[in-house]
Amino acid sequence: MSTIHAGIAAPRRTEAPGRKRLPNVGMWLVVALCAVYFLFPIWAVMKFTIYLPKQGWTLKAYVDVLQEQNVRSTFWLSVQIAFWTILLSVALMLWTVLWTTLKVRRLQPVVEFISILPYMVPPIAFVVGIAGVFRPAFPSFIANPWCLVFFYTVLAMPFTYRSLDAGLRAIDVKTLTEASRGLGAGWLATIWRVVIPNIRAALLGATFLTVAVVLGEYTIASLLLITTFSVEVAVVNQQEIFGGPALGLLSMLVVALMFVVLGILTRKRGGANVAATIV
Amino acid sequence: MGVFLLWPTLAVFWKAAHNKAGDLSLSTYGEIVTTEQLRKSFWNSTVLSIDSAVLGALIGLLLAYALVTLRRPRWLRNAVTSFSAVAANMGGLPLVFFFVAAIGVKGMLTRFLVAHNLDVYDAHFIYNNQLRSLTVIYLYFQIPLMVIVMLPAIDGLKSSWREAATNLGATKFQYWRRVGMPVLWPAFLGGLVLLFANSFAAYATAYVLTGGQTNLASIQIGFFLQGNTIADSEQIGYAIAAWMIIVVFVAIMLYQWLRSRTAKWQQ
Repeated sequence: MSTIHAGIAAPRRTEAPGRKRLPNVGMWLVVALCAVYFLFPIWAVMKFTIYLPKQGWTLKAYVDVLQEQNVRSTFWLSVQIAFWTILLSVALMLWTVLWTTLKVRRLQPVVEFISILPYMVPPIAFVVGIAGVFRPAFPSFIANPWCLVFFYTVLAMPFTYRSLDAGLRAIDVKTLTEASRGLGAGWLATIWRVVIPNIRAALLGATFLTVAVVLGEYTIASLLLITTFSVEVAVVNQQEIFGGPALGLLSMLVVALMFVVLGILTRKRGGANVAATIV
Repeated sequence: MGVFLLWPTLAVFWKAAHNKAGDLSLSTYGEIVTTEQLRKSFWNSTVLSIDSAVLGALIGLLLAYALVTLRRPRWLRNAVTSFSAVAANMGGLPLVFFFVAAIGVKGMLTRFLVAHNLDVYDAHFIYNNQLRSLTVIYLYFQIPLMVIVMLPAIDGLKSSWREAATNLGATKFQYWRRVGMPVLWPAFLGGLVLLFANSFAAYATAYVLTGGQTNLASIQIGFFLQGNTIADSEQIGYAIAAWMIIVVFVAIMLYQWLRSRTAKWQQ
């Protein structure tokens, strides 16, 4: 048996150096084609917004659109909604994750299942339920832009949970909290001065993902008739031909920049991979 | 959590379980199947989701494999994963602007093709087929999502397994058939159903692009909420949403189950 196998394996080995080049070319082709598919549309929209007809290369479209009152006010509104969403979801999830890892380990699978529930209810179906429940019962609640904080907290829950859970798994929370408690610190002091500094990377990841989601969320806001930043982008798009795309590109670049910054910050700490917390 | 997610969700199912007269019945769920336009919307959503999921999964798998194999420029992998994190989350407006500028009626590529006397409105091209053009656009967030799912799985293929297989005399084909595929299979299938759910649930991109002209399940729900529903009862809107939650729920559960099987090899 062994001789037969050796006989098969041996000629392959002599072939190997020559064959090695071939798959690499194919792999580069895959990367190149994907690069074209992903980068060409960005280039197209960039050229569309900075090479205006009869005016040539100019940033006028960007300057004009950024000076509009509605654009500024809705952007500010979205930023504030994002801020409160982050605060609420981190406060809720940090407490939950700490509680399950330290006190009731049995509940961990249950909490994990609950945390992915928002993935199972698509925003478009979610908003049907929101309208069905809150429109008859509390019409003024869903007319108020701040109601989005609660719904976005639900949307942010899966990756906030996963990111914090991964962050807490990476450190030995149990020992750390016990040590801190043993030295006489209260629970609040322990969380604030021991736990949070240790999971800074995870917190940052959850924060940036939430900002990205809140800035880009269109379905729920538009169907509840609340003009957030992304709804305003759609409005601008119908009024002026270059303004909408310019804003769209800008918001994508802002999100991309956040992820780059996050990548640099977390690489040093060898911390959590943001991308992995999405799925 | 209970108030803001579970209550609305359960309300969808509860309200859908009533007929026009307001009595408890499952007939509204059935009306989705018997009403021509609604059945068509679910059919279109399914076709679009399968197309974009299969293409996205295959291309995503290839790209992820390429990233693991190509070690040379170190920044390549980081750049692609960062970009994927952004692109997988992107949907809706920016995405539509990108593609309108690229392959829209006055888009860059369109004008280039027209200038070269290519008949872009030929029936085989994407321009005349909304579902096909949506598939091309959905790939923009589907491929990155697949890359994010597959990268850890492919990283989990240990080089020692390949060496062991080669030492035992396995050919490359045998290695993939007996070791590589069985290990990657659950992750690939999981990615496939995740992509399916992702595209089935998508609303903003399709709505902004076509202004609601494409008959998709999510677009029908949007119509219902805006008040111009084709059906004469409001229960219909809830029933479409309920069916959609069921489809996506099953897909995500399947994904979770396959993910737990994948995790076994990723230590």
